[in-house]
Amino acid sequence: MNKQEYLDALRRALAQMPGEEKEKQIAYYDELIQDMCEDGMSETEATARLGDPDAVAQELLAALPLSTLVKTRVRPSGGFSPLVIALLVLGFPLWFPLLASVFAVVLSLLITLWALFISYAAVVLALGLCAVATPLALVFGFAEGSPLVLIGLALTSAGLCVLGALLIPPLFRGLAALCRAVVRGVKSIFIKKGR
Amino acid sequence: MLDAQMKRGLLENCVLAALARGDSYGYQIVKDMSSFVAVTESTLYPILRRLEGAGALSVYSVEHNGRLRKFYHLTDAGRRQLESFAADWGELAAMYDFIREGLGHE
Repeated sequence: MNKQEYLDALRRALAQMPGEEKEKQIAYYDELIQDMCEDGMSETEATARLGDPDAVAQELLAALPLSTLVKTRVRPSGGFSPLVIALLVLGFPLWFPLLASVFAVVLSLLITLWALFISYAAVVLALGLCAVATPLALVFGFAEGSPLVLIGLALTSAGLCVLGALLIPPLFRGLAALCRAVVRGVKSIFIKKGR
Repeated sequence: MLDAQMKRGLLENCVLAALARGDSYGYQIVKDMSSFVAVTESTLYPILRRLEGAGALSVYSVEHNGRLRKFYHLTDAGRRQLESFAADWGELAAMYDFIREGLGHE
């Protein structure tokens, strides 16, 4: 691939990037290839070293903030035809609630998972408190009932608390990874895949 | 595997450090860095843009062989960022030593 072919391929792959930003990137690659050529490489060698234009474009698009991706995805550089605008406006009562509810469902699922996690941690904490408070209550004489049963209960709580606490870090890591995956997934919706 | 966030932060500071030696342009920065850091032309561009957006570096064009070449210049803000990173580095280096020592006891 020579320089012009490479830059054209890159421009096609970056179609959804805002115009000014795209031209800056093209200019950057144009300059790079020329610098490589001055350094003694041929245009073919230089473009080969930069790598597949589609892969380069994916990397550049993924580095854009989500807000920019949404804006360019929703407003293509070519502009909308009047028909599409009319359909979008007329269809607003239909597509907007649908889109909003999909996002709301995903968000509420994540919140529910986190709430479950927090309640789980609270149960573990409560067991730990039982394990500490019961012997104290016995020592200071607040406790009613058989001391043996109470000590048994305290030991059981302590055991359950330790077992439960072991699960907290992996659960937390799993949830955090899930949240990151969801954000990545939402982001990738707005990046067009190569043909 | 190095955490992506961490690697990006480190690379940003490597770019600032490359420019602390004097103004430079894209290809030259990659060449200067590549003997120390694995960085490609495509990873460099988003970093340069982000640093420019953050005011850590400024851009100007210079005519070269009948075309324009973009030069990047480290601003005072960029130099401060690099200095504060280097100052914080002591803490990170201590953690690194601790990690290495832990591995040594395996």
